[in-house]
Amino acid sequence: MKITINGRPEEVAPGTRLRNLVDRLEERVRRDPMIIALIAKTGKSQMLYILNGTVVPAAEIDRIELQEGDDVRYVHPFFGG
Amino acid sequence: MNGVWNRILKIDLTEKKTGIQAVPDPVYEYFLGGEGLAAWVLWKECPRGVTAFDPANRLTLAAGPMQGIRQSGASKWAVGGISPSIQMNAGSAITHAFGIEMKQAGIDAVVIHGRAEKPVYLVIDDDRVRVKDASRLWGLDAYEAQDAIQEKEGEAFEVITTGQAGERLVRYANLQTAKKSFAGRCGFGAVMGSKLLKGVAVRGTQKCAIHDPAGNDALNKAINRRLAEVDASKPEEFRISWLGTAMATALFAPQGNLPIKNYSRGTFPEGVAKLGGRPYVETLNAKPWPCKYCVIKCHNKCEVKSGPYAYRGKGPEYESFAMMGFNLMIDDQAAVAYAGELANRYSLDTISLGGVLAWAFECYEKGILTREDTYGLELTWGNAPALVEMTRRIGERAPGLGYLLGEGCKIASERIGQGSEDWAVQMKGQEIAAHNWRAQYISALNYCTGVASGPNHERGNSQHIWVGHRYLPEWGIDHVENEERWSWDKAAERNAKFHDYCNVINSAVHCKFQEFAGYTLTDLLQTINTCTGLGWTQDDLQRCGDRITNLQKLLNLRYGWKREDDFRYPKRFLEPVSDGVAAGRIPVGLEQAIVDYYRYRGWDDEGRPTPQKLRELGLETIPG
Repeated sequence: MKITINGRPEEVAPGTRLRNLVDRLEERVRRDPMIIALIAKTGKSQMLYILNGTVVPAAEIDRIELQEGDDVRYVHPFFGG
Repeated sequence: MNGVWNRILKIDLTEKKTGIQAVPDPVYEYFLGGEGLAAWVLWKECPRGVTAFDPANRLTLAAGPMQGIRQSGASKWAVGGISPSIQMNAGSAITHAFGIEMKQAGIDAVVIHGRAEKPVYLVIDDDRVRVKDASRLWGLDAYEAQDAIQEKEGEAFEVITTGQAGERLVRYANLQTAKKSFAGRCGFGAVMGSKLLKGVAVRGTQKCAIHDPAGNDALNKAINRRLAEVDASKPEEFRISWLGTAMATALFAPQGNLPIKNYSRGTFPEGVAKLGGRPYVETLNAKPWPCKYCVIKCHNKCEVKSGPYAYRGKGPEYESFAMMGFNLMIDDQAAVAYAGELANRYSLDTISLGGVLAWAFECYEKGILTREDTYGLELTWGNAPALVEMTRRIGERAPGLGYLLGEGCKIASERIGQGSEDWAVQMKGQEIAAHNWRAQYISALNYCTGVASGPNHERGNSQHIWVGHRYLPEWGIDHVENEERWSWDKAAERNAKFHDYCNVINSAVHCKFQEFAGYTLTDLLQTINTCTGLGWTQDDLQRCGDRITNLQKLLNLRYGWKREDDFRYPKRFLEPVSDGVAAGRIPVGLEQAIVDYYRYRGWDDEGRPTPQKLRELGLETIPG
């Protein structure tokens, strides 16, 4: 089924859970020095996930199954300056 | 076209004439508004040979299709003209409510040229325009001038002013509004000073029709809610609404992105502990000071209640405390904030001021400047009182070093000589901003190739790929590996796309900082479409950015840019630091990266747009 991730279309298997996607994205940023610093300081990457325009609380990520047409965005917790 | 008035206000200060000029739709379809519109004005009205302080220079204050809508970030507006620092076309963005009020006065821009016989300020009250005597305001600082104008004209007017540095033609003098926001870079305050223009007041009651009011309203609500929600979901120390850009210190330090000791060191732990972050809020008693409609609230109002640096006013943003703190090895947060506010009152751009002073401090360290040159001050690294006093001397253009430093470190180093050009960290006459090229080589490429405002971190903010994790997925730039920060692979494409991205944002006009709460290119496109009815796709948006970039390049050529200017980067670019995560990293291969960038853009190896490229963009003739 088709969803969009950060505005770009992507094909995922029916039944894919948001957690699967989050794990994949977190793996991609694992070596980032700012993420490393954040994990060291707070225990978490502090990445934020937005599903169809609404921020998903961390506690709900495991419960969500992605649906056809879903729009997923992720935001790093940083500011540029 | 909806979302714009199709008219601009022209003011000739020499002849004391004002008039309205109609602007046809194709101009907006090509260049949107804001900085794009300001570039178009230069193209039409400022031929080769016009210089920054020439009365013929056009100072354009421009809104875009987004001013007047209730969306977070849409209070931004733009300033453009020929810059006294880079001596070419340039643009600068500024916020709060002046742009909105200007749009409500029934115009998309104010274009000012000529030179008044005596100091004046302008009052634009809907359709009524007056040129008023500002003799009694001349010599006031920028905030005092604003107070005087609002006292005379009324609080309902939004006002811009410049301070003593603008009057005295400091090449990096800025203009301000609301005592909180600045068109900081490129010296437009000095352009005001050269025209004997102290300020502009504007008030309007007219509503510009947009294409889809209901759709726009729903979009604004959804975007504002989401941006606020994203910010509120972050831990306190990463909330823009709590810290503003002061959160950057803790995040940039692990990347080697901070400018330290005139860019000659990679670490400054005392500064990291004291500048920015929680100490910023606690030392400065920082409170959010939002711009109109903004939900992320990055501006701060601060108060230092006692001591030599007691003040109440704007809190320094990242660029300010990085350039005046880290770059001078000063870790006294209150002193840096106080000096920043002093600079704001004089109308000194804090980025250039920090760069210029770092150059002078290094001259002092090397014995090229002595106490005889420095009014008896010890320009030693970490000396906060010297920072404050030199800010005052430059703002006043005090005879001697204060005057010279007002010229910027390019001219100052040429005058002083003795090899001091080697540590003048500037390009094309403008000091480099607070993003260290050793942390991501693309910053060096951006500084070398920027066409919108010389070397500028917000006219090509590709450093954000790493330092802010800002991607442009809709334009093909998605996740990037950390190690790529030291690679030239794809740098040409990324640099070009961020130049074009900044151009559409600065022409729409919108605030780039919203992106740090998740504002997207999709949001931008949908907003432009609901305002204008253009019905654009992302390809159209990207093409618009490309077109504005090429117009700016044509203007660079008109005003004397030469290929070698892009290659005259600071010697310090190729000097490694020995500490920190970017130790030993220098952007070797920069020359080839510049040429690759030209080719990616469809320019020839001399850096000029080819006839084919101009045809592709419909720029064989410029509309209007």
